[in-house]
Amino acid sequence: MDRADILDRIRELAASTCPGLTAADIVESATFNTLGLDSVRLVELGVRLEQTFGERVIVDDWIDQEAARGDEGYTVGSLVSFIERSMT
Amino acid sequence: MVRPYRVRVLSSYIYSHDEHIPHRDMARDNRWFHGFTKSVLRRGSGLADFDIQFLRLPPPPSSFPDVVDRVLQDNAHLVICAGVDAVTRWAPVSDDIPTVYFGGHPENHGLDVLARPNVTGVRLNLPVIWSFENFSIIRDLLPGVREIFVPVSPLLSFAPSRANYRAFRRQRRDPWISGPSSFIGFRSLYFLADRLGCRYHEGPFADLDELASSLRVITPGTTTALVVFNDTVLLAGAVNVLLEIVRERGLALFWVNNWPIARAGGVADFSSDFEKAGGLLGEMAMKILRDSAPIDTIPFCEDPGERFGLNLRRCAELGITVRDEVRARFHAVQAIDGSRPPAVSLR
Repeated sequence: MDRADILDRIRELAASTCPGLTAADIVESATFNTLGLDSVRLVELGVRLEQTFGERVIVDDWIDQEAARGDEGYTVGSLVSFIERSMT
Repeated sequence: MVRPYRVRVLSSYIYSHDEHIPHRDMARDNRWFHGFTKSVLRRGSGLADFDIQFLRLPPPPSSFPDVVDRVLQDNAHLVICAGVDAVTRWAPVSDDIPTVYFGGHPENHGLDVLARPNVTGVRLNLPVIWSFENFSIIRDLLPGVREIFVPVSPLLSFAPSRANYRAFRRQRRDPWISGPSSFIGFRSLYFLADRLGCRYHEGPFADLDELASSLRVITPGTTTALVVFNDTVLLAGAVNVLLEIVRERGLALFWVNNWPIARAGGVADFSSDFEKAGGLLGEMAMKILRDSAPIDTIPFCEDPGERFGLNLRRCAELGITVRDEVRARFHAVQAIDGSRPPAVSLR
């Protein structure tokens, strides 16, 4: 699965988690906070991602990693990269 | 019931990310909310169907009129209480709002909430004291253990034990109540320690200074074990004081239902499987909210499982050798270098 495929799956799952979102909103530079996914919705997205990508993707680890980045964290692109790394 | 389902979660154990305390991650690592979410998704719903808000309670035994007003004004469809201290304080407030909870009932304290017509939930077992087999893991890790110490917070929510401790304090100056005194609150823990061949000491501390001074009389090393429950978490600053003294004195700390604290400086944690408990709560919530099932038709559930955590780095610091068969009792292991391998069942 390449980067574009991962982004597509994230778009699909984020839209299921937050029904007002469209694929056009979910670009790599966007943060989940600006997309309207608060910590509760991130839990749901994390569960959906883990169900989709399997146990190698531990979304809590990505959340830990992003927490250290402060305001610049939690972008869609960093999640794509994280999943890409986890899958290889 | 009309969506979104208005759910209010009440708990004393809700922390913000700027609070520098090891148990800040309790919710994450306890994972009950992950289990709840999975359960809801499995039933064809999602959190978009919910208006869910988390409301932090003040430490017990305080009342919380602001929180109560908010829950009532919001016309909540369901209240979830995380912890027995939350449900025992919330239950008298309303006989109408369906309430589900999870929590441990040491010595059956607080179990009378089940008589409430609007309450059901999941009982957690406090695994280390639920069976001698589990309690014996302390000896498996510390073969030379001779004494077990259990500090008890002044914010313990069980009034009979608090009264008993006050009576002890009026008569004695010792920081620890030693078994088999009738002032001991956790009788089953005393019996377990006795069967293990250890002297049992229970220490009801009044404040952080008393906690510190009582810990400092414990003999350091692996002939003593300090076993702590989450009532200590309720007193602001207590966990940090405790961890500081545990590190300074070289004490072997065991926690019950709080892996983040054990990971920060304890030898081991003995938790219930919070993810499974959350899954049961999700199932109950969907029955109540989507299927309009009356709460009195939803049976109370027993503890769905255990998850134990072992901190090998702390074991190494204390010179504790962990045999393979003992390590295999643990589901999560923090390695000597502090890393956390994926939490997988080793059983």
